[in-house]
Amino acid sequence: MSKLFKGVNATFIGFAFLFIWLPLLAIIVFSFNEGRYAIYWQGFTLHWYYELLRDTLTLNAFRVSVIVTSFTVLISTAFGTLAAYGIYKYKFWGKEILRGTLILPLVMPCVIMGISLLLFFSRVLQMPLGYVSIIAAHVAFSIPLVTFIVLARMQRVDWTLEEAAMDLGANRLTTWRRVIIPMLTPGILASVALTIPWSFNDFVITFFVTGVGTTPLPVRIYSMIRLQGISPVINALGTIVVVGSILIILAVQIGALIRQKRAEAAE
Amino acid sequence: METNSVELRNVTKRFGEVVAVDNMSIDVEQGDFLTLLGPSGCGKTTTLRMIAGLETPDEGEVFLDGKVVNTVPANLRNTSTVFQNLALFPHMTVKENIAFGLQCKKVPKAEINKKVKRALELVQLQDLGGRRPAQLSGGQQQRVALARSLVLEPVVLLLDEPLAALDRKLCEEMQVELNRIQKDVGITFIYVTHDQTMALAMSNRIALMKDGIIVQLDTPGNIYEEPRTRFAADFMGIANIFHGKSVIHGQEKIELETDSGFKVLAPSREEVAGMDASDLSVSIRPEAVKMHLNVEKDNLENLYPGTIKEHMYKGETMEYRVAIGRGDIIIVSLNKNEISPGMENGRDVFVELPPERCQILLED
Repeated sequence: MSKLFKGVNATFIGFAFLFIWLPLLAIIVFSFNEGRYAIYWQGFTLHWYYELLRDTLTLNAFRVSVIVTSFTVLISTAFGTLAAYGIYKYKFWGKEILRGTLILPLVMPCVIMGISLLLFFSRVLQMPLGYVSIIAAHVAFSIPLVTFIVLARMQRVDWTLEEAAMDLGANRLTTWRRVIIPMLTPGILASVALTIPWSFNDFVITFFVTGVGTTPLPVRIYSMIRLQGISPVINALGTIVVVGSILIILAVQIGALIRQKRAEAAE
Repeated sequence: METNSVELRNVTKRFGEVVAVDNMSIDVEQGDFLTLLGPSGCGKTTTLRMIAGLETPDEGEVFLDGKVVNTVPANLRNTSTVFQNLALFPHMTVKENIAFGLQCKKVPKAEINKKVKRALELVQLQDLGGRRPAQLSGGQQQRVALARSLVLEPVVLLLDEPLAALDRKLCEEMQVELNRIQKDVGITFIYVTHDQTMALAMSNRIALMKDGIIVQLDTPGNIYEEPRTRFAADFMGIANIFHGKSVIHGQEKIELETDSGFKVLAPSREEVAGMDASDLSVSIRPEAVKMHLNVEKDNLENLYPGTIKEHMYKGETMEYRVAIGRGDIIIVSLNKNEISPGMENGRDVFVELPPERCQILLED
């Protein structure tokens, strides 16, 4: 690699990082800003954080988001993995149709999905909008995601291990628990890592199927902006979410590193 | 009367249009080392898998220890398989791999530890219990796979070409190991391979298979010395096989005219004695062929003129390729003291096929 190429490469990477991080840094910095408008620095304050703590509506929305995302991840991971197993290992009538249908939620425009789900819940099922409707909508999108990621992982798995386990006396459940799931873990973790942010951040579909009283965070932020204008309370909230995510990722990486060092030391 | 470890009765298995195993019946006695030998696609692996329970027969019955097990799933059968790629669990240690089957059977922990320890001693891997499979050599992984299957004390141990990936020397060492372990433990072994040297070395019985049926079931000695069909002789690596039809068919002797036109006198075979048969072959081992530079006596049977095309030095013997008739090649293997000076490429010679050393082979 020539020096010029290295230089140009580094510059592009630098710009890419700046592009991603500058807005986030701006949010973090101005969450401590005295003034209301994020135009110039007016002094350090934790005022907006206190405001956030008193903002029960927003805190509630955060709780709703966490609950929705948790259930979505659990349900879609379980069903998506099982679906992937069925598609990978079995031949059945309608298999290709299933495969085709699965990809639909991923390619359909969110607005169309949102509206159709709203009509489905309110007209066809005639059920009230609330946790169930939001979780159902999120699961509908997430299952295909999990299925395709786990399917991809399954191509790289040594399936004779499943036969070996059965040959040694393991029933289906034990085989799943001790052999198949450990082998699929990288795929499952990858799909969880993708499903969590998608579900937590989703706005468009969620907007249509939210009920009063069960407003997730993105929809709450939208309402805040519509009604009150952009308040630095949102910056405070954003900062907490960003920093929290970074800490979680760091914890996972450090955990993996510790496990690796322990494995090496054991030899 | 002791029941056989394994028995197959009229077992057939189809995959779509293809008949992988065709109405096969065989008995395997307790303590046998049986090898299913044959080329790719002959049905040997499918047969093994049906005994293990990984495939279900379309017709016929599979017996284990005298009981029908067609409907018994693999995890409930008292068989254990060593797979071709070993299938060791990569995320478990050697000890955990070996303990796996015992844990499935809900054996108490203390007993598991005892059995695992004994299994490791049996395969001589006592100090490697804490390692992961990826940290072991090929031969060591082999032995873990063996230990993992043996610790369950199955009625029969099924081996699906497990030595295929090893290098020559290791492979031969493992063959000796396998025989030693089998004698120690006394379990019936059924081994699948396409390699006849392995089959000859390890088994006390060989079932030679082709297209889903057993072509010859016999001891290694008998299969090698007296193959029944052309396919059997060819597969066992016997050279000098010539196809033809019988022209004189006595009860004791047959004269076969080969496709390329020369006539060979050979002892008759029970199956075709006295009958006009048009689809036969004759074979003779390279070591049994005699080569003469000049011929004084003319009362020798099966004497043919030819030309030496090539010769290959093989240490104790010299192997000659002699062209006779209309394009056939006979391979002659001579000891050092049988070689005369003058036996070189291009030299005209006479080859003699002593009739009593010739074998008639059937077609299958």
